[in-house]
Amino acid sequence: MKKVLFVIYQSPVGTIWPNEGFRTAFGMYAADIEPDVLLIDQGAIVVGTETEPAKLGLLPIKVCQKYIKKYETKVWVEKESLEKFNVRVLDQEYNAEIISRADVKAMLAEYDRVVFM
Amino acid sequence: MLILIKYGTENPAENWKLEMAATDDVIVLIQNGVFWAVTAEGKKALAGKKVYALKADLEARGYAVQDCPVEAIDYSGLIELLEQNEKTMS
Repeated sequence: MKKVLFVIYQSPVGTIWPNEGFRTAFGMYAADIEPDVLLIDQGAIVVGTETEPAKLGLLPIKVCQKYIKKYETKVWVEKESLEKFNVRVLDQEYNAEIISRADVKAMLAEYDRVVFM
Repeated sequence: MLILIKYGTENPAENWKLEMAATDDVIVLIQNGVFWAVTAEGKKALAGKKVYALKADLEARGYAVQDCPVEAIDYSGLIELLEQNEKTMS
């Protein structure tokens, strides 16, 4: 089974890429591919409790949570990005695991494909 | 692992990819990624790494291959690198 890491680095407010990243990851379950998701840079704000683009009438992001739970998708969020964007309280519904940049570097070799979205 | 860089030096994802690059990784600059090879900040980030730039993307942006500090490759060269590296980051 191929392992693919989707790296989401853009904000969920004003771009569709976090939604697309999760949607694409969920689509991998139809194939023989194991997807994980890593949130870095502005993408890290996805897991903030108060983050919800729907507040501005934009595409909701928390809709992804039920599929993360359903498919048991592994979600990582980079520690340095959480600190950079001052994300202090994480929405537990994402079940995101915090990982340092150094540990991400060591982890990348496990993946057959790393795709930035 | 083969790492494709397609955006310029201002892009956070490309900066992150280069920071994550291991010493044996192969980096290929395509599209606006070729700006990394011709700017001071880009050259600094590429130092010590195994880097190639796509010739067509250099020339389309007005850069001569002989002025490029990294090895220029054509599309056939890119395909060879893709075949040689089972893992990719893009």
